Amino acid sequence: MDLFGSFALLLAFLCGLYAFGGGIAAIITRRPLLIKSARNAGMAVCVLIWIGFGSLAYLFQTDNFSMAYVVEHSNRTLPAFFKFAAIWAGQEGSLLFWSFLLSIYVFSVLFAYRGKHPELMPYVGVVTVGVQLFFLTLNNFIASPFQILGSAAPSGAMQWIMRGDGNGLNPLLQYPEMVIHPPILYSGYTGFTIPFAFALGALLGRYPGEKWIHLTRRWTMIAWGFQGVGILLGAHWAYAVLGWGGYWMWDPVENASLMPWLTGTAFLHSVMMQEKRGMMRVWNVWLVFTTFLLTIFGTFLTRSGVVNSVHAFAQSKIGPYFLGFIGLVLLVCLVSYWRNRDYLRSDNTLDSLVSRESSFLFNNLILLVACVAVISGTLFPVLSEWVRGTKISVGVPFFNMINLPIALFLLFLTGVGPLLAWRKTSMASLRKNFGGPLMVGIVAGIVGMAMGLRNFYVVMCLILSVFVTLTILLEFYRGARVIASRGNSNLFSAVGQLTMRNTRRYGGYVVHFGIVLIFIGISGTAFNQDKQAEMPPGAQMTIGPYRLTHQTFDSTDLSNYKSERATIAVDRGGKQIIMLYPEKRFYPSNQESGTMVAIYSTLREDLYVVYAGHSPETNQPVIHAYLNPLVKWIWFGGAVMVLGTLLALVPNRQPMLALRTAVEPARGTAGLSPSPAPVQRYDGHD
Amino acid sequence: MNRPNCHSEVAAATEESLFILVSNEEGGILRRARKGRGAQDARRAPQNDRRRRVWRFALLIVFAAAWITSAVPLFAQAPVQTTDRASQIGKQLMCTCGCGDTAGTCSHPGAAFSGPCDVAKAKLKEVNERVGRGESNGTILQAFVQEYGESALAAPPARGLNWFAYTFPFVMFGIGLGLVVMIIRVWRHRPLVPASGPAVSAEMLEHARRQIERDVQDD
Repeated sequence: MDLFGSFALLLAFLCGLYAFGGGIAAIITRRPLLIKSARNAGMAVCVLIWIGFGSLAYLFQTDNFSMAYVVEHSNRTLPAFFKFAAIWAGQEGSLLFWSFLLSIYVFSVLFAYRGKHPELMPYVGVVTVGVQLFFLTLNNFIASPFQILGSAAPSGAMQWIMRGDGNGLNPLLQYPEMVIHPPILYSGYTGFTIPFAFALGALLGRYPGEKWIHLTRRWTMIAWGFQGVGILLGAHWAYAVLGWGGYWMWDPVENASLMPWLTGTAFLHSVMMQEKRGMMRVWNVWLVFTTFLLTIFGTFLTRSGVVNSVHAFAQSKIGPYFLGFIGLVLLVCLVSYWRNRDYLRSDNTLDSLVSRESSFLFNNLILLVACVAVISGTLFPVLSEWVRGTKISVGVPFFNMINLPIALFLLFLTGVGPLLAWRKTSMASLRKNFGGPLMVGIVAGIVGMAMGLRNFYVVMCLILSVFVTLTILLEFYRGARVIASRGNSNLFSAVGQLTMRNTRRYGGYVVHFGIVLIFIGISGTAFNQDKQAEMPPGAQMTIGPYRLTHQTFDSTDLSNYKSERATIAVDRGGKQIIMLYPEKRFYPSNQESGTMVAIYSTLREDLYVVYAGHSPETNQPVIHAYLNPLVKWIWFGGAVMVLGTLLALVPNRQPMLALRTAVEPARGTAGLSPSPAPVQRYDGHD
Repeated sequence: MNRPNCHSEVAAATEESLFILVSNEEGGILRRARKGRGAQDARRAPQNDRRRRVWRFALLIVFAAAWITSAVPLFAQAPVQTTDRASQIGKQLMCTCGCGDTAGTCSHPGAAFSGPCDVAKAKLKEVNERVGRGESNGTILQAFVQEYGESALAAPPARGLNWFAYTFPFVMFGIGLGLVVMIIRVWRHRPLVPASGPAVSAEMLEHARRQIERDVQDD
């Protein structure tokens, strides 16, 4: 099976070379048969990658310890569930997993649009296969997961070795969330290849109009949604597993996942200007290029060892290949843009400074500044060491200081932007839409301050959260009221009808509400408390309103790990509310430990209890308790964002109506020129 | 993924030195007690004996209390006792053991003991002592910079090249803002292209008006 997988990947590479070369030849010659052949070869590449990935999965499940990669990341006692997750635990497997997910996207696109858009799809095929070829080069020649263990026989010849057992999976990865976090995050990373391929293809092929935008809108939203959920799942994994009481530490790998999400968010907004007004064509194309380049750059950061990170893979020689690929893609993008820049010329006109168009410009500016802040903070230690030879640390305080004002401004725009009209918004409309929510927000801020809130950012976050929530609610209310008055339905069913009429717009509002909830959750960080103490059985600790009593302590020896577990009784106001079981696990296979945090989570706060192990000095069990306010709001906000994204992906139940100028006079109305155009259907957006 | 666990002998040494301190203190008491037995101070002997008894009783109470609390612990003992201010300062200092965390949040998830390592503990202890001496936050952080270099700080000090890191996003924001304003001005003053083709009929205009009304109300 190892040879089978290795052979499949090699064949995929060769097929990819044919699809790439054949695709270019098809574009030049315009021969339909060649176009079809290149497309089929592209689809064959995907199937071969699936076979290669399936082979690796099989090798893990069957404990084939003749494979170096399986030995390194699995062992016999590892549950089947985690044997699957072990596929992407290391450099080689995760790169194959990247190819695998990318191939699902590529196959879907090639299959869905087969025989359609003949002017565009050959270009798309060439670009996607080009990206696949890069990863297949890595999979085959640089970081193959199918390397066999061998040793030199006395005769000098190499002989295969089969190890009895493997080293096991890193304990930090033996957590159910780790089985879904990387696939979802990688689905985000790889998904941005599709809008990139369409944008570059449309530019190279000078594909007319905004069609490529319509074609890729849902692909972009899917990739963006996966990226966002992946980031949140990663944060939740860090919170529940790492046991340091937080969920985001501005680690370079976390930052790497945030960067393309920020530019992708900017693209999802600015693309509406192109769809609605035909504006910002150059900007949108470059946003897509940047987003794709940042996904590759993020992968480079994770795998090259350029920056230190808790999540990073072991340092390897893979960095220069990624840098080379980034350079090549950038060059292709620059040359393509320069040669076809006249194609992107658009009729950018603006009626007023206070308009939806302006708000999108500001929104894009802020999102890009946030991205720049994250990039500069992440790379500054490297720059400092390079320029001055001095190593410096850029940690949480720095990123918080820079990003908090940017984030709050973005939150403000989240409330303002959607309520501004296209072209021009009058002062009366501004007062009507924003006056009430702003006043209520300010009152909420004053009440918060009266109740003891003193942190400037927290007060601002409160004001803006109330403001944005009210503007969103008002939007739903106004629309639903109109529908309810027309159709004699109640307000709640009218909200449903309204949402389904323009899913993208109202799904977007739901996403915005999710963002508000996440901001509220993050603001709770200002009130975090923690306490650490040696707690032998019988000892007590008080944190906030909770009293923790260490009742018993037990240890168990399971097949995969040994566990030490504390039983902590939690009471509040003298009344016992829950028993918590924080745990420390030791994995003999790789001689590493892992933490299982116990969390009592409410909407108000999380009581987060870590059993840290035995104190090296006194050999007493040490309990670290954290009181983290409002954390649940973050995960709830994430769920709301997913709901909003899914909603926005649903086609409108009642199509938006638009007038198109009739090309020819309608039959029977020859006297009228031009006639009232037939009302045409197109997907709604706003 | 490997995060070093660097629990060294620092804490043990600290404990040892504390023990020596207690021994010296006891020795001092004994010496004072021996002096009290001198012939020249015979009149004070009953007084000294009383004092000695008080001291012994106090020590007995202390040891008994220590023994009882260790046998049946009523309240947990914090390994690193720090004030809130010291904890906050600890979160601005990097733990230089290589874990990548700050001294205030240092934990080693993959290690046998995932609490603050000895490097972090030593730093927090020093911060605590300096806070106790009434030093300002800036002075404390500066002292760590002098001892360990700029990498001791979780956020680089705002000087020299570091200004670049602090100002770059906002400079970019300023440039971007200028560009956005310029773009808006250019786009606003761009003349509208007159519509070409035949004039729009009254019927079409009316149809368009009705459509716009419907769209605006629905949205």
